[in-house]
Amino acid sequence: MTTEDPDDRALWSQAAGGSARAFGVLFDRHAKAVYNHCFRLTASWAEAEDHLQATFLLAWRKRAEVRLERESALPWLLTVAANVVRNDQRSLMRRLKNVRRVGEERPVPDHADQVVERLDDQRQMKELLKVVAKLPRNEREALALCVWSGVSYADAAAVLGITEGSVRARVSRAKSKLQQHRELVHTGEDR
Amino acid sequence: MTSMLPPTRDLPPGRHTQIRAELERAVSGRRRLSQLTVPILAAAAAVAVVAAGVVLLRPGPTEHVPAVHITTSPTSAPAVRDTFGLTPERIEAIEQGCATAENMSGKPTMYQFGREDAGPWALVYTDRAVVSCDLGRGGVEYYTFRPSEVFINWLPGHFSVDVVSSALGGDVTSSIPELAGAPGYRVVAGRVDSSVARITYRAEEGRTVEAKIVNGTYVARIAYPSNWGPGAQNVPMEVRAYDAAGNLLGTNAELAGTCYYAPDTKDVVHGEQGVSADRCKPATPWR
Repeated sequence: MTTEDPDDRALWSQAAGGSARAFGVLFDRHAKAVYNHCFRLTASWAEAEDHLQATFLLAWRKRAEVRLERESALPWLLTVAANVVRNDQRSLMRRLKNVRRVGEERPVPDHADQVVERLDDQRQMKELLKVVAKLPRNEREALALCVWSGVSYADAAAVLGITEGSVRARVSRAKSKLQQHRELVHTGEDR
Repeated sequence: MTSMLPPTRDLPPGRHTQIRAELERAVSGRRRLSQLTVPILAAAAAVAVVAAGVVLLRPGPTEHVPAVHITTSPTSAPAVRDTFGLTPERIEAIEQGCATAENMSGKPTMYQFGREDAGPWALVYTDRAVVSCDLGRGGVEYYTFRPSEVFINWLPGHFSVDVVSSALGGDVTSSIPELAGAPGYRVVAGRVDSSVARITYRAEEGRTVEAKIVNGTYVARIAYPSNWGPGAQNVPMEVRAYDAAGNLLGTNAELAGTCYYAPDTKDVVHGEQGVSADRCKPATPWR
């Protein structure tokens, strides 16, 4: 361990050069945020674990093609995670995966004291996603990125490849459509 | 309905380390990636960096490249082991079935087997992971949940706690009709050295049972009714190891507060990852 705490750009640069260690530090730094983002998109903690792993593996594969313009890698990772989730949900392979997942969706917890809470989370999130599912995809993902996971509009704009104003507009439209669910749209840091 | 978002949570215990290890193995090219799982990425127009691709996550069941290379195997497993009256073919089927259910890499070995109130089960280790496997639960031939990472050649003292798990009763999970009527259970399992003669497990509600010690491993299971879910915790879970004279050799609480390293490689094999071996105790060989 070094005594310094390198920022994500430095770590990403090292990772792009092939440093698995630097990539591991990025994982340690952002795994929890990506994990929770994936959960909010899937309402399944088990799927969130798989998507977390897929997100970072994909990030590794794309490391040479991606240059971090922002200080934090998190907005980009969350965007990759959203794509991972979306494409997994579309994938024909999902059926195969579900064969394996039967055991996970029948909750067999690894720690009993957490399982009820996590089951409650999943039920609650499923209900929320039913509401949010009525939004267009771009509004839904902007809401998840900026409101639920606290990414700034500027960072979201950078990783989505659209203007900051467009991000604001998407989030604003999402919020106005979800007015009857105030807690939902005001949870998280809205910047 | 409430509109509150569920709270942010950590990964389940051990999963952060496990996923990180998987990634490290993948990115360092120390194993070939399997083609089993999830082709995930199609093009995503709004995200320039995400091109079409395939994400492959898990090793094939027969592959094995450890994340940390242990160059010295202290001892090998005994040639003769308790087979629980099962045929070699049945044992091999259980080993392969349980390991494949979790895509565990390395050669699986069944160390324990039982038929109890909550149904037949097996304890299966590879040299880097362990899984408690229900046989036929809910109609699923090999019903597993999340293997735990282990360094099988090394023990943190006299015993390890490798598995701490539980299953809700089948009637609690009404969305899964196949599990209706299935008992719930708690299970703890691990490995012991030859000085351990007795292991006790006290569950959170205070009930204490004796573990079954076989093949250098122990398993303690408590079955519950099909409507069981973990309720109020009266006491912390506790595992205690005793020698033949009844002397206490250690507890899980003591284990939790201590790290151990492999003397030959200085790799930390128990406790917080990233800690210097200088701050840990030497692990002892297992078997």
